[in-house]
Amino acid sequence: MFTLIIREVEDNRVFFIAAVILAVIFSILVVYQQFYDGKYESVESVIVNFGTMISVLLVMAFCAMGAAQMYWDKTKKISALLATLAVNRGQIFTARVIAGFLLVIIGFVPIAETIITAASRLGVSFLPIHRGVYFAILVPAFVLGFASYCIGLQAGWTSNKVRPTLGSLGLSFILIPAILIKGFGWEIYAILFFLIAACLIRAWYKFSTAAL
Amino acid sequence: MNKPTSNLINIIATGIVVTVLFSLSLFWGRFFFWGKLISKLPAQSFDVIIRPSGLVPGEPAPQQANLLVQSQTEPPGPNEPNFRFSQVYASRNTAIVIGSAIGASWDIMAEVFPYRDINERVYYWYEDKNKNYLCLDKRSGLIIRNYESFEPNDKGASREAEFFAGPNGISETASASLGRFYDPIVTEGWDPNRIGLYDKRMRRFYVIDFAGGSVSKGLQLAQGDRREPIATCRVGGIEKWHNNRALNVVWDEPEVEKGQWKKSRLFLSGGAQSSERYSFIGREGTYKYIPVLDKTGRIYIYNTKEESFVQAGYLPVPQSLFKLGQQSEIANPRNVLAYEVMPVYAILRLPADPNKPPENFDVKYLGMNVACASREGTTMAVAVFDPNGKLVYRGDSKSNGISTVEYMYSAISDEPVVTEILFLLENLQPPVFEIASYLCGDIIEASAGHRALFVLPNSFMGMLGRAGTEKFLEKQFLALALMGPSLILSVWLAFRVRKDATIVGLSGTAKTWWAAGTIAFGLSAYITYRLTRHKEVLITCQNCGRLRRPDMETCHHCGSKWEIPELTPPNWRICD
Amino acid sequence: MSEYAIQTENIVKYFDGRCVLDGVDLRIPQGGIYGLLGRNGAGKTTIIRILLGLEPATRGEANVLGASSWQLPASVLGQIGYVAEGHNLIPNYSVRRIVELYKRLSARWNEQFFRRLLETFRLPMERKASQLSRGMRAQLNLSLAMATEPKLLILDDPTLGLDTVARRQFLELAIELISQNGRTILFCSHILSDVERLADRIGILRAGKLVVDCELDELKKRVRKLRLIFDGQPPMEFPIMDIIAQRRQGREMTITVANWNENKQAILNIFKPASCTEIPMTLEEIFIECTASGTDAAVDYEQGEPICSR
Repeated sequence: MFTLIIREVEDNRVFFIAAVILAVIFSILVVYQQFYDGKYESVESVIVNFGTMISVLLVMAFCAMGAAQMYWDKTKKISALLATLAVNRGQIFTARVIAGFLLVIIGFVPIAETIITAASRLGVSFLPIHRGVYFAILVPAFVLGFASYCIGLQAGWTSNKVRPTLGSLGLSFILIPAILIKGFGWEIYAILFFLIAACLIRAWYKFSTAAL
Repeated sequence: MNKPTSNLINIIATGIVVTVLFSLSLFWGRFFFWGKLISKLPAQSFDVIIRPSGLVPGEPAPQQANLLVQSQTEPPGPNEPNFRFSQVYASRNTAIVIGSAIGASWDIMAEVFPYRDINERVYYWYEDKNKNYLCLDKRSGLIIRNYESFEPNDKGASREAEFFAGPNGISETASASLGRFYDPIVTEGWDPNRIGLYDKRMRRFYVIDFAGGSVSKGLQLAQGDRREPIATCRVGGIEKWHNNRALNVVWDEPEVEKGQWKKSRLFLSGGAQSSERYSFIGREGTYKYIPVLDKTGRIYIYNTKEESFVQAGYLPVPQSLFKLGQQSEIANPRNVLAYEVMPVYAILRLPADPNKPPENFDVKYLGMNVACASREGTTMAVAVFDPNGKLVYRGDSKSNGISTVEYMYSAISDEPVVTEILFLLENLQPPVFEIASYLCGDIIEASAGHRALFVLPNSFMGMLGRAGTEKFLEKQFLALALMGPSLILSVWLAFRVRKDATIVGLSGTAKTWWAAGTIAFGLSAYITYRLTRHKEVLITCQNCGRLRRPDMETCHHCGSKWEIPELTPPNWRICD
Repeated sequence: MSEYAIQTENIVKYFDGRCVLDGVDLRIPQGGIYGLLGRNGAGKTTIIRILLGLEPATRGEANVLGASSWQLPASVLGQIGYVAEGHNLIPNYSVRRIVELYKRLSARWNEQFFRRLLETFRLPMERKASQLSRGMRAQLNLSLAMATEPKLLILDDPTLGLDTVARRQFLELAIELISQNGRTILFCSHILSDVERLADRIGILRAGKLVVDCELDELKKRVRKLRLIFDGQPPMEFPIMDIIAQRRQGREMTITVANWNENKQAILNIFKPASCTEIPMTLEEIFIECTASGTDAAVDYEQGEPICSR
């Protein structure tokens, strides 16, 4: 399984690198603003504006990776080769999903840590916001990212180049604003967990019944 | 896992994905067109003015909301030109109403307001996180007031004072002897040194005076008492942060304009000028009277001196689009988007010497104004109650003379198509969700209703479901009519699904389930069917000529076995 | 453990409405070499992909090493070596990376044997799979499949693209592998001389069915090609079953008959041919006769004394 996961990460390293780059850019911006200006309003502006923009880009990237994984598998017949070795389809699929999960972690955790650290260092003197608030915001965003990845997994199993690209972008555009509608409470968790489970079941069903 | 079970799980999973993504798309469509309608409402739709308010003794009774009795034409008092009666002015903030739909992400601020920190303190008032705050410490159950001492010490530096208040008293140290509060309602107050609270577990009122250093135990509601307070003191807004300013209720005392100066006057019957002077306020800091809202929408005034707890008003039900008979007059707090209670008091000052300021005063309760925004946020009702809790007057928001909600959906002349598009978008929802919206849309709290994806309490069906039940048959027919497009679409799609299912050879049971599911879930079910249907290319049966599935041993139409004319194997075999 | 390494029952496969396999029952006993033959498009690769779980059968069941082929567990897959037609390798992977992948994902790996093969074939380790020639891909694929020491080796046209020398090397390797007891090989190839050299049993696919499934020696015994010369005109119909092919030219008639036995000999003798000569056939010639399209003479009865004796 470890070999399969490493293989997935290596094959999709462009997404991992992009996620790291986005996270680093965000961290540099926040740190620079903090040391250069240091005012709460400026740093807050960077965190909220850039943080939101980078998060949206990341979520779209997660969807794209899910689609890309399945698309390249189908066109390059990767699973057709792997499935003749001592691995079954379940292991191939599980490794794929784990790699996607790792990508979401790599994308989000540095951004989350930057936000929490920057806010703590600023003191946020007029509000006793505790870390729980940041987790309350960032965890649903993380789950949303993973849900977007799972949607991409479904859209990608096709030989048509256009369908996974447009399909994954379109579906992620529909999904991302769900945070605006449902907020950060139990409702968004309920919707996303059901969606993740359903997407994974569907992607697995397609993958397990398809000709390789 | 055998094939039928795994296929069923796949169908359910696909259905969930389709329903969620489809509902999200429909939400934005509805939001866009609903926003267009809201934005077309005239400015007057968002205000209700009642003048005179009917709460000042001696003033004429209010006649019609938004019809102002001009003081210039009817000066009430002798020799008092430029006089204006008292008035209630209620306004609704449209941006906040729209924000209910897409502002849920701001509900995270409910984590902050009332402020909570990692030490499990709930902050009710706050100026600086290190000093000058009022909070409940959940661990000890004590209310903590922290502030800089008003009198600096000898060296000129101020002393930080911290007081801990429990049911049994106040102390500068936290002590078990103070007792503890368990589940207090402390509405965000205006005076951090004096608060009134109601503890839900102990069912008792308290008044805590940090300045005076005392905790007064108030009335305790009996165990079986149905009254369950949910808000006290400042009763306004709802729990969600973003709706705190959805309504604004202002009560203006009667006044005279003399150039830049304003004075207030008391009117006694007969119009004689009184020797008493009154100031009118909406909130008073003595905590003699504490307004209390209970979960049924009734408003009580708790008199802390007399320990009386009498009903003084209620949340008025705003007008709805459908008028089908008698509805309850009292609105449940969960079923209104926002509410605001503005009690009015008079501080009676008794001057011993008219030329000197008054030395003592008494507070007199004059009545209250209550404003409620409807669940959909389109209408507002304002009610005025006298000190005995009797309804004096009720006004509703209007647009060009008719109810705002009616105007919005029917009379916005330059957007006739928008209402129809909105109606059709709602009909794309699965019929089963529409029926749920009709039957139990009320279960969803008002602000959450704006963000609903599946059961839509603010849809036409939802509004009809909340209408009165006197005209029962008419209501059911209207419901069917509203659901008409949805039902027609579902039945047609179910017919198509069944036809296709017959072609692809699904069993009778499967066909029935699919047809029933499509009638129940409409377009979502149809899309699910198309995504999960058998994809093998069908072959023409040599016997009956109809299309048959190659993965079945016999033709599901005529039962014949396979003949493959294009393959002509030889008759001989060389086998062991 | 079943006596059969591979067992299929009524395998049917359709592609876009076109039937390719129409009820194939294949049984390959453990420890043998089975040559599966057929013309292009007969369904050899399809059946192999179904056996490996890469393709779902439209109808029917298939078992490989005792497990259902559509749900082969990793433990069974680890005992199978596969050389695909077209030598499917991940195009953008280097040879080294592919080898590492195989090493890590195989249940068994014979490093010494693999090194020997690499030296024999002299494969460039750093080159990408898409940049290898067809022959090199074939060699790599072969080496990888054999290095896993499989219990069941499935070779789908393995020598496609190999030059003569490389083909000979492969055959020698295959013979070396065969000598190790207990291994089963399923071998598809269009080069029938190779098959004839290696295979114990032969299967031939035609029109979606397995028309031949027996031992090679048995096949050669049971298929007879006879040249008959008659004094007069040859008879229009021979009341003999299992005529694979028949040709007439003047007084001469050539018939190829399956399942030759004494009864058929007796029927032939009734017609008193002036001359009856058996033409020996190689596997290739048998294959051509069996898979060429033509009329079958189906006869419902047999009677009489042998008309031709040897």
